Amino acid sequence: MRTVLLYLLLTLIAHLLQTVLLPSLAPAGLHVDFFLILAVHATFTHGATKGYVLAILVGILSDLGLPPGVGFGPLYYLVAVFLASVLWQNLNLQSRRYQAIFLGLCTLLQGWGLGLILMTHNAESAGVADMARILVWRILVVAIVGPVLLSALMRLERWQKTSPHPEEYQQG
Amino acid sequence: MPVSRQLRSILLGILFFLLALSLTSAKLHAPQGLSFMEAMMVELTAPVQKVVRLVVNTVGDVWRGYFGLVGVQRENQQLREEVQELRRQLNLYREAGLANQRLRDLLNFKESRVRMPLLPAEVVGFDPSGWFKTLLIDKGTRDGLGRDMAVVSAAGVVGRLIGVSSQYAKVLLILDRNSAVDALVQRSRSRGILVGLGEGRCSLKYVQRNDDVQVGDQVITSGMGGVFPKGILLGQVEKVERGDGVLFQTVEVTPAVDFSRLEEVLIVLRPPPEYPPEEQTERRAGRG
Repeated sequence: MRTVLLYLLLTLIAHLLQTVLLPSLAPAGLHVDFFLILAVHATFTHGATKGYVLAILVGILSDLGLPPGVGFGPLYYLVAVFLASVLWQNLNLQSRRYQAIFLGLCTLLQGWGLGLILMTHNAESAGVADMARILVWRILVVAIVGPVLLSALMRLERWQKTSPHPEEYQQG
Repeated sequence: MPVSRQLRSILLGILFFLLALSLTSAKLHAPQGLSFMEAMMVELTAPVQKVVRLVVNTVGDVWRGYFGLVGVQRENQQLREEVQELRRQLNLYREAGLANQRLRDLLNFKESRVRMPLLPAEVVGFDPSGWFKTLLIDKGTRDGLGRDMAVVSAAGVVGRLIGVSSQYAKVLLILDRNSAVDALVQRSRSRGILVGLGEGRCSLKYVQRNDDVQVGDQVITSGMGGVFPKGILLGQVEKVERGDGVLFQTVEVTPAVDFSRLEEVLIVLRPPPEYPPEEQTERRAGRG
């Protein structure tokens, strides 16, 4: 129960960071996809099934700001979680280097998906060029910041597991 | 891993994949505005966003106002507001003058713009993915808002409403790649469609090669399309390119509104236009 509440709280914090803080403080290229990091972390720590549930939740939240007729959030995060769970078993994703590459590739996948959507919406070529520039920055930023945040989340999870439950306090 | 457990995880994966696919499909084929689930999510998260945004704005104001250049900051803000107001007035006078020259009925024109009721709203948050240019405001259907209503600020056009829940509404900014606004170059009356390019820029499309468009020209709404009232400032021409052997010129426009500092907007309260059923699908894709 505590873990569920923790993840709901973390999802809300990620949502607030992405909808309020980042747009006011940082240019589009420096936006970090906190939802992706959270979903990947959940997969590493709690397995694919719980990762899928979180992927659906953050996917819906991510799609809230999208214009009508555009939507890719749940599918994108689900694919990211699936890849994370497969690679977690077959590759050493505990290594920060691999984590950086993995998160960078996920961001690239998102940009590619978005590019496809924009192509179907007849976007201006100048707009697509801008998007490509932003995408390169985002890949770099998530590759640098992502592993650090994953490590911080691991510590938080460990602390949450080791800290005594309120009932234990009462008993003690 | 035992086979049964592996099979179970594969089945679960397929189940979640189908769920995600159906959610995406529902979003793509959503009839209009916000779906029930989206509206519920917005109603749940927006109050927290509003509080956090208020805190961020307050902290930002305190930081800028007291720890920064105290007097200069305040004066700068006043001057900015004054310049914006003067620009708006200048735009109104220029428009009225041009209309006079063309022997149009100035009174009717002015009345049609000024008598439109406006409702102020606060910006609550932006698109979480960061790829699209939308924002959330704290007014909804209970305040009389509906889809396709125009959203403006003192500086010019902000965008239009694309989804409304009971207390909140989603605005598609003119910067977004899905936005399209019928526009006029104020000086020469050349027509075009202003489309968003994403990052702080717009492009005026379908302006004929021989039309007179110059850098510095003001671009205003044409009033066609039924969403935006006529004569509201959209932006300023930043770049003009006339390529060889092409029908249209490339015109780049910088929006009049500074979207990074947008905190309050005004919604033009008038009934949204009614489109024939065949146009609805096209409208859903963002053409205004």
